[in-house]
Amino acid sequence: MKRLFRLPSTRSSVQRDVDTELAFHLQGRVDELVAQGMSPEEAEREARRRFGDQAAVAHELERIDVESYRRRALGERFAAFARDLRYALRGLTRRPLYALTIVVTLALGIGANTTVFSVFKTVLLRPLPVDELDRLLVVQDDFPKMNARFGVSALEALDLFERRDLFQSATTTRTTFGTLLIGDEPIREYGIATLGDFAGVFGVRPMLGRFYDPDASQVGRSPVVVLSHGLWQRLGGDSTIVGKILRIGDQSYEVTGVMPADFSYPRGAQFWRPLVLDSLILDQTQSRGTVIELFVGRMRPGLTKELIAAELRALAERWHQQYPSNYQRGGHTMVVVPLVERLAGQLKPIVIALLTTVGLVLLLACANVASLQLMHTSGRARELAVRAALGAGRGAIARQVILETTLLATAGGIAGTLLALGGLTWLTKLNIAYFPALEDVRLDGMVLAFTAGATVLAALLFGSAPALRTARVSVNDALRDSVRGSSIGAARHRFLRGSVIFQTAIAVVLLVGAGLTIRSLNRLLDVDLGFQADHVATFTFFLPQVRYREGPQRIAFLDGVDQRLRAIPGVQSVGFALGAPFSGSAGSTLYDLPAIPKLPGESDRHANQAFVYGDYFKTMGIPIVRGRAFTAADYATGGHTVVVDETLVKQSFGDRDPIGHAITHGPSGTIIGVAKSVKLGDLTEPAHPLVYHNYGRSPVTPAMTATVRSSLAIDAVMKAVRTTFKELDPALAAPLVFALTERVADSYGHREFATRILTIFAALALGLALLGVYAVTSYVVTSRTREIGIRIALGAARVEIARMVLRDGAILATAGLVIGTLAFTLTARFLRALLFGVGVLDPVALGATVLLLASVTLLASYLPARRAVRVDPMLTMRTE
Amino acid sequence: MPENVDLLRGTLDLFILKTLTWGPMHGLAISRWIDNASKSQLQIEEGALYPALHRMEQRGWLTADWGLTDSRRQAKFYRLTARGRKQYVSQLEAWNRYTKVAALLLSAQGATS
Repeated sequence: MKRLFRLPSTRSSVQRDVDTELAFHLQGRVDELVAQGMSPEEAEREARRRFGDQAAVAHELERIDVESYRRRALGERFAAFARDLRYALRGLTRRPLYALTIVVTLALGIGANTTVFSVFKTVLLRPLPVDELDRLLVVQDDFPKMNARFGVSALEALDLFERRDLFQSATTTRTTFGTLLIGDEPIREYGIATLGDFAGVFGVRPMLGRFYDPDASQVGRSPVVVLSHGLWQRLGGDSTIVGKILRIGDQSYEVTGVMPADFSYPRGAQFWRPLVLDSLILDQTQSRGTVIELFVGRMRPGLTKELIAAELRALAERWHQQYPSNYQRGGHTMVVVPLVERLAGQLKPIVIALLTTVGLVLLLACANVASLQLMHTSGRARELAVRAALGAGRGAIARQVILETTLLATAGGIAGTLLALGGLTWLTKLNIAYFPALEDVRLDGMVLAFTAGATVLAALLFGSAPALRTARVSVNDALRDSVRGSSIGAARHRFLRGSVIFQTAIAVVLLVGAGLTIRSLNRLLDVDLGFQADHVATFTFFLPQVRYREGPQRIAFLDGVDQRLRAIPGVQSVGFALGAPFSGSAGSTLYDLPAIPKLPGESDRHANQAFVYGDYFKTMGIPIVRGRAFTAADYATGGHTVVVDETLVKQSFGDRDPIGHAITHGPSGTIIGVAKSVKLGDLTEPAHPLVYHNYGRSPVTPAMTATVRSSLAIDAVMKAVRTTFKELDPALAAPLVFALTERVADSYGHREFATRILTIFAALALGLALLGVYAVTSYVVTSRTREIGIRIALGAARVEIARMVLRDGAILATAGLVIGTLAFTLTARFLRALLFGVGVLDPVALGATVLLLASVTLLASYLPARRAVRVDPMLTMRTE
Repeated sequence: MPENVDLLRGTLDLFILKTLTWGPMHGLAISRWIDNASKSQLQIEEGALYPALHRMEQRGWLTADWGLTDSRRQAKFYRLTARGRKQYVSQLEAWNRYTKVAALLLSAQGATS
């Protein structure tokens, strides 16, 4: 038997084979029968009879063979893949450092980007589960001269509701609080009073029941309330709660619905109820300019924010003519702000800084991976060339290179995902206090796919493409090159050097950025608060309007708190002030000094308010620089007295003595003292005049912040406050007590947070750049081994050689430094919101960066330099 | 169809494997060998042989090569693979066990209570 060929190899040949095989059988049988003496016709018939249904058999055979063919083809493909995979894995395990470096670099790039983009998406792109969120606009009253923006009044909102041509639906929200019995404990809950079509604007679909109608705000309607999912659960999670009566504060409400768990607007709201349009709110002269609501409208499709802004400016003009007495001051107009922007708040500049940062880290990672891949490929050019020479097709080599990259990318992707998960957990744990929005950040699959895709694509483009070109172009060259061991493509060297400069430059940008935020933070910590925050505890409480309607009732309560707390050993003094630093604003308004004409160049006489009672200045450690603080006598009898701060004196009095002068600022009174200026809520804000009113003579607000100076721990103060409140009014919810230092720290927490993250990323970038410099320098040394050997053989001093290598590293580092510094000054905008008290070209931050980078690059080229010095000339010659 | 065909179907694979232990053969030769060895007592429909062969080839018990016969004609020769040989051994053992048990059972007498 002589073998012809193996089959079936293709599907088309199957049928032919089957026919041949069966024809052979039948013909053989016929020949046999003829030989036995049958006539050819008889033999043919007999053979067919013995065979059976030939067509059916042929069909069956074809079916079996086609299936066999398919299975074999699949098997072969799989085997080929397994072979390639084995090659690729072997290639990688032979260079574990290379593989590890690429995986780590990719992981950092992917992980950092996924983390930050997840934050970005939650915070800036979709902070609320609301359809077409970008069409929701906030309208605010703007007083450019006072540099102040407020919400609109309810009356203004009602006018805005009429503008159906601008807003499809619109609503306002106002913060309200209500004390509920949860279990047996009275708990003060944060709620929202709404006006207009809240459900329509936010497209809310309650989980239970329904949201109340807009006209529930009309006077005379029975009170209704919608609960948050959280509050509903704390109340016992009764699924039949809709229609039941719930007591909040002094009022009974019918529950109409429960919101789904993922709806939280405004953030943290526990209940929503209609704002009742009573006669006070509807009084044009009294209320048009005073009551503050946050207006949110859903922009009609096809309109733009700019168009609406223009319409609103025109509307404001009309109001000024219609109600002249309400809009005399401050050059009023209206502005629109996208709700998304408002929700992002303080996070926005940080997220933008972070986005820029991780974008740079990603670029750095890509450059790193690309040069590593390139070095790796040229290092193995010989291996690939040999394979090619041995007949491995261009496709096979390409497949191997791509498979290697894919393996690395997959490992990097997995590690990056784990990193991102860790990063997000860390973020959410760390900073909820500063940024409630971060609570909702989740790892986003789409984001992950995007960054992983981008990174891998970059790796393929920058890494594999040159690799493939090497494999293709230089089969001959590579063999020659690697034998000669020198003069590897000048283009490749240029690319590698460029890549190092690029990486160093990015590291410089990030280092300078981080340095500046650290400097800013230090500057911030040096800011004089104007008060002594240490050992002060504060808590804010609200006295219900019904039981504390009259001033004396409120004063009596404060006196009770004062006496009880002061009686506790360790407590030194107790004071009260609505509008105390870092405890919420008491508002601001214009002031008037009838006897003092405006100084030349003096701007609007506008000051913040504080309402003070008890031993406030002593407790806070605010020095009285002139005159005196309020005394018990001031609180108890006589006319209204006020204390002003130094900033007001400087602005309006100049060198004159303000003591004894009359001032109108809301209530009119006499100035009895001047206090040192304090920071109220933001360390970066410039000083603004402040007027301390005598709450004893003017107990106008139901809210109050208490301050307690003591040697006690916060928990101890908290316990004392709880006892005090239970004794004084068991129906009142005990407030939360905070250390004042903590509140101050909270005010710059977002900066601290950003600084920390930027520092981490800068360190990361420095590490990557260090790796890049090291890898490239040692690669260059390796590829110049022969040259170095010759130099040494010719008598070059080894010091000379070391200097040569180090100089090479220094040149790259210097180029990176210069380009990086330039790039930073051009892009410093991304950081501006986080800077305080330092310029972009801060010598300290720049100097530190230069020092750090210089020492790191020297270190990175030191090791290769040492290797170069130890080159044995004989050995390098012999490798020829 | 003759009565013995059903029995044959289950054992056709075994017969083919047995036949091929003698060396590579094409379908017609296998058919002839079985006919001779059984003294023409098995009425095999020759067409049934081929699906069995191709299926065994698919399972990897046989390999097939195209070759030339002594009369210089192109034919497909089947050969046992190592797996096919193993298969033959285990099927033969199973068959022997089965026939022994069947003989025992069919020759048993009387009823056990």
